Amino acid sequence: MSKRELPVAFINVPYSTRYERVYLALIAGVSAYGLVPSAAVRDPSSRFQLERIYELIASAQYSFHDLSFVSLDRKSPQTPRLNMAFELGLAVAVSRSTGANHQWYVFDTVPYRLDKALSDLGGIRPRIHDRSPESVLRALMNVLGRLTGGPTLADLLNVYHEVEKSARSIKRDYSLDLFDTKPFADLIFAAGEAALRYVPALGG
Amino acid sequence: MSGKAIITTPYPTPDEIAAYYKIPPKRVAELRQMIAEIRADEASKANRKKNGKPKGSRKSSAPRKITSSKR
Repeated sequence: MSKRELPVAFINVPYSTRYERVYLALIAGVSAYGLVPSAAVRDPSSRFQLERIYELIASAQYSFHDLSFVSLDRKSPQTPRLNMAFELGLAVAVSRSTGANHQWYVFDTVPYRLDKALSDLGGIRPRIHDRSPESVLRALMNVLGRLTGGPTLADLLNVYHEVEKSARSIKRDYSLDLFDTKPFADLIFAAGEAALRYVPALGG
Repeated sequence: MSGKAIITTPYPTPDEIAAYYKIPPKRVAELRQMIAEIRADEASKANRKKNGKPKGSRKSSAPRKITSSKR
């Protein structure tokens, strides 16, 4: 089989259990649109985190950035989590480089908050969700489309439910942490299988 | 932020996804088994719902025997 270049979408969300459903909804949603999700999930084998993340973003044609986690964490010393905003910055830089083929999208849970939190993005309106899978999928539908045979909200929800059940199975079997390399790859595979079944354009 | 993206590339197959993430064939088989079990479970739930028999229901169709009395 000759290898073709797959369309990749980088997912940038907080790695927190509070965001598990957002993470799963983005995996399900982008897969249902025919994209292969990637993310900077923990990779113990990699020493050069910044290089690895830059490569992941640069090799993706799309990126989705959830900037809604703006509070301080609970661990001492309490700090804001800056990784998501930093990765968005990398994506913007990649999209502006010569010959670039990268489109980026921002998500938040509070309208207009980003104007204050990240005023450098002035004029950019993030897509708003309430962290429920349906709202994330609706937000995704606003930024993605397919030329023919795109998924409906019902298709997206079907894919999500199967991915969510796969996540539960992974948690039972070997890892409570879904933000890790192996669970992530397993979830992407499960999402691809679910898209094949539930997106009619794929003969589902 | 970019405008709406219209995707024109073909859908990747699960085998292409497995190759992209270097998922070994043995793990692919295990994942397919896991997905088959999830779907079988869903189908069985849907059947129970269709037949009106909730899981764990042990109600017999016979009239319930009255065991207490208010004599």
